[in-house]
Amino acid sequence: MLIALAGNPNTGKTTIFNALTGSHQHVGNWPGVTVEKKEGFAEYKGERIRIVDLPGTYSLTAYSLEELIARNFILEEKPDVVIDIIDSTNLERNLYLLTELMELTDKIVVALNMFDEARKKYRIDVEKMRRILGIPVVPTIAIKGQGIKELLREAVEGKFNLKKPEYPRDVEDRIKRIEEMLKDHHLENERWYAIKLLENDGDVVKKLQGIGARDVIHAAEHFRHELEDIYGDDIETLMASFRYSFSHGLFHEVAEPINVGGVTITDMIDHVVAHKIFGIPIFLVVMYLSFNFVFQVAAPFQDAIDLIFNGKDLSNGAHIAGLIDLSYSWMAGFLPDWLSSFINYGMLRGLAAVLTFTPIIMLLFIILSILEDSGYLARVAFLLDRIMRKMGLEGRGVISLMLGLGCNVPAIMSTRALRNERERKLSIALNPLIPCGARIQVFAFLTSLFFAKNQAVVLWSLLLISFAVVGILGYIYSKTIFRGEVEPFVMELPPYRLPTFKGIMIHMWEKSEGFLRKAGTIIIGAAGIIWLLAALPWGVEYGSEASYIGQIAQFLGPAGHLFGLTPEAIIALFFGFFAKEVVIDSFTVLFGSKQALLASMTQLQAYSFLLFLLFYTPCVATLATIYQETRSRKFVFFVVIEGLALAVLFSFLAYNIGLLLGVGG
Amino acid sequence: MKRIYLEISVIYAAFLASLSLYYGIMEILNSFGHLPYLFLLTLLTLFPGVFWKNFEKKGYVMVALILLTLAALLLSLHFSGTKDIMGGFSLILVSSLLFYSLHDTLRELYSGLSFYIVGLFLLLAIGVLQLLILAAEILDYYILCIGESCTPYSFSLRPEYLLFFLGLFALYPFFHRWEFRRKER
Amino acid sequence: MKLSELNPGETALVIHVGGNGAVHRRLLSMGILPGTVIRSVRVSPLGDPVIYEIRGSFISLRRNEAEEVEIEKIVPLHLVPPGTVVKVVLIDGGMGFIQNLSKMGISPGKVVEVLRPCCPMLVRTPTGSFPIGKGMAYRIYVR
Repeated sequence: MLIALAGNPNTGKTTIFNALTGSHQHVGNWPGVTVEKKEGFAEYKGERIRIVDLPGTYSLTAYSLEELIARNFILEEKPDVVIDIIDSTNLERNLYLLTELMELTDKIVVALNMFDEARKKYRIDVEKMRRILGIPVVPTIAIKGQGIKELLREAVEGKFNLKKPEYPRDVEDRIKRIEEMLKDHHLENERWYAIKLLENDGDVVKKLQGIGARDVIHAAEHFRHELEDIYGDDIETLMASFRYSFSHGLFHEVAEPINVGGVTITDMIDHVVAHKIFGIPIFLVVMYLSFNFVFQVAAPFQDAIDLIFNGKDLSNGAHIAGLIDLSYSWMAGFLPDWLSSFINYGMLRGLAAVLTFTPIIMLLFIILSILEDSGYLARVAFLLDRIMRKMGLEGRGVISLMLGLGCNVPAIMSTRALRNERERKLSIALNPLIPCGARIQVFAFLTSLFFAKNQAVVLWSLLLISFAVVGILGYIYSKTIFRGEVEPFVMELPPYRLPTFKGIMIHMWEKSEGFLRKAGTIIIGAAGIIWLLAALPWGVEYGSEASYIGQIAQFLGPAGHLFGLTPEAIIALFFGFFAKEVVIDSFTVLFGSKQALLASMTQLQAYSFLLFLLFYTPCVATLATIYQETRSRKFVFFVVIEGLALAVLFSFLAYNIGLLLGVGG
Repeated sequence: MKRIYLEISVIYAAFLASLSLYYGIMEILNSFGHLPYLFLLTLLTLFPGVFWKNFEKKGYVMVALILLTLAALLLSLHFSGTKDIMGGFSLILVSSLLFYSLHDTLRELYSGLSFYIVGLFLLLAIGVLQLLILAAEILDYYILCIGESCTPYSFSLRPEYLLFFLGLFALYPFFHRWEFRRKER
Repeated sequence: MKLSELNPGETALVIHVGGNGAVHRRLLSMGILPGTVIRSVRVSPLGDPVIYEIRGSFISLRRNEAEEVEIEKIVPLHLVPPGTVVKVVLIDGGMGFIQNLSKMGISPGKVVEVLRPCCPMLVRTPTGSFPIGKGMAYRIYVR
């Protein structure tokens, strides 16, 4: 048996899905797109039931990807039952999707979710609703797990006697006539096709053209013009009005408002959070708090993981062996040395790098789920939309950009909050240009060395350059490469809710697991490759000038000269590809002492190096995440090229202008 | 009867607001223990007592406010310096939210409660966060200490801890005030 | 009048929904349709997206989207000052509610006079004078 879950966004659909399937679920993507697909299994009286979570949509037109996915799934996979999850605090609007679903299928179970909250707003007559619709209606409170069993029971055993909503006579007549004409084309669900033809639905028209139903399309066009003349409005408005008048009527039949005109707590909070003066400062503080939470609380866990795997060099020169060292010496007993060190210092070290990322990712998703479930994220989008629109993003885009200051990996994963594919790609393309914590760490180290007197100025100049570049590039991209129809920013502001612990944990785990599994394998592989480059040809000292990396650096030396990059700096940049903070390590390995490092570059060369580091190719983990999120090699390649081009451009400009002016030499 | 809770919450909010303003400024400037400034700032606590005509128990109120001012002075003696510009900014934001709430409440506007809710919530959130960070720091300190001979962790007290506990007390009149508002409407 | 010209706190009746393609359909699917009541709630600090209340939910629209919606300003009855004569435009409720009100002589098109302000308010209708409670006054829209 197959059950599909449909519903508006923010109705607690995911919570119901989780409650139904427990841990038996699988998260993937819908074929060919970046929209998330969730599937799971539930059991009812020994029967295994497949449950698919459809994307949250407001309607089922052919205009957005999510809506197409949802309706095509119902049309093509023919689920035995569709459960429509309704936010009962917002009954009228949510019933609109139900009217559309009722045209698509007969077997619908209505879940009136958040029933407890709704009861403070209206008296809802569930029995009457069941009678009017002729299908099971189940009140649920998903976050408390109430009504889930009944929902499943009704889905399997309930009686379906759906009374389809009727359009006014002159519309209904025309639908019937198109239906008649469609009979020859052996379509199931003729009524739905007829309605959609009348509505001039692009996707359906194309489909029918495909099966050669040109005559029907023409007839439908004719009827459409007739109706538009009769009612004096365009067909889309008309059909939506008819459906809404059904949901409006149904709503007033079954729900009676209580406490009209009272001020709600959501109103009160919004009054402050979206306040003219306080709104943006509050946002800044919330961001600061989230940031601190993620990176400070993650630190001990990261250090612990690092210690367990890599061991530790003590101040007295001794070394505590980590897991990698232990497994190396264990393997050295029966494997040749090169293989053992490849497995351990190449691959396992990569694994350790992935694992040290996980605390950050988990905490980040905890905070993001809190912000999203509580309803604050929607307010952020509302507050900052105007600024972000200049960059071709919606307001929510600012969150992923700011998270980039901590780490680009979770920041890129957080772009999932953006509903529009174009905006998502744009913000993924911009994100690596924001210096992450690791790069800032390197900046701090190098500036403290080379620019001891005006460290703060140099640091701020780097940050400002990066923000300016992100802003300008965003503007340019949104006008050129990532141009597209501007997605209407019609966003619902859900009421504030206290997020539940369970909900947050489930969200967090879903997302972190994906990172660990998929990005992890890529990172481990890349770590192996880098190790090979640094250790081959056989017999050279790891990472020295004789190794392949060293040779490449030598080869690029003359080119690097244009930007003031020394061969050592190029080697460091290569290692930085693995993880940016490694740049510090490789400098210390290459030079041995701070004085030697200080002597190797002029201030101008150092600044040019910093600029190069700011923009060049993001680290392996970031690239792996970009690939995982976009599923496009071309896009990853684009990001690499974009970074390199900017790095080359800026360090070239800085170095040569500096030389001309004779500063910092 | 419930009006007394409104008055308590006003007094207490004034106290919290001026205290977080002080700590906010001090965190930005990194100069704790400048008592004269503190004294001037805590005088702000008195302003609802002076400007609100409708206090039922004005005498008690003034005494309570002066006692709270003294308490603020005493409480502030033990903080060591922490320079945290954004942290200070957060506290100043909290205090301005609370002051704005008083400003509205004194004019008997109900939006005062809105600012009180958000200000208090932010204050508590900052407190919880700082406590979590403290726990993480201690843990980190000992993890990095493995194998070395380290001195025990030395606490540096941040004013957010204090404000968090003081903020918890502000919840009590808040709930009563909430009830009060509901009945009034 | 355009929806974007509506000030926060004011209420209006949607007359026509324009816009093309995605904007048009998105507005429709959110329930912004001719004949619906829409209320401007709050403007973003930066002045652009505006939150509107429609059919009990809060929706934010950008100014250029709001410009596509043609409206006519109306007032909920509870905000009408005493002594004014107003015309009923719309009653937001189920059949029962509409019938009850029409028994009192309040139905779309009828002219009523407000005698005492909200709430409960006193209203003179073509059939006589009736007290109107808060729960009712909020759902009667007049011009």
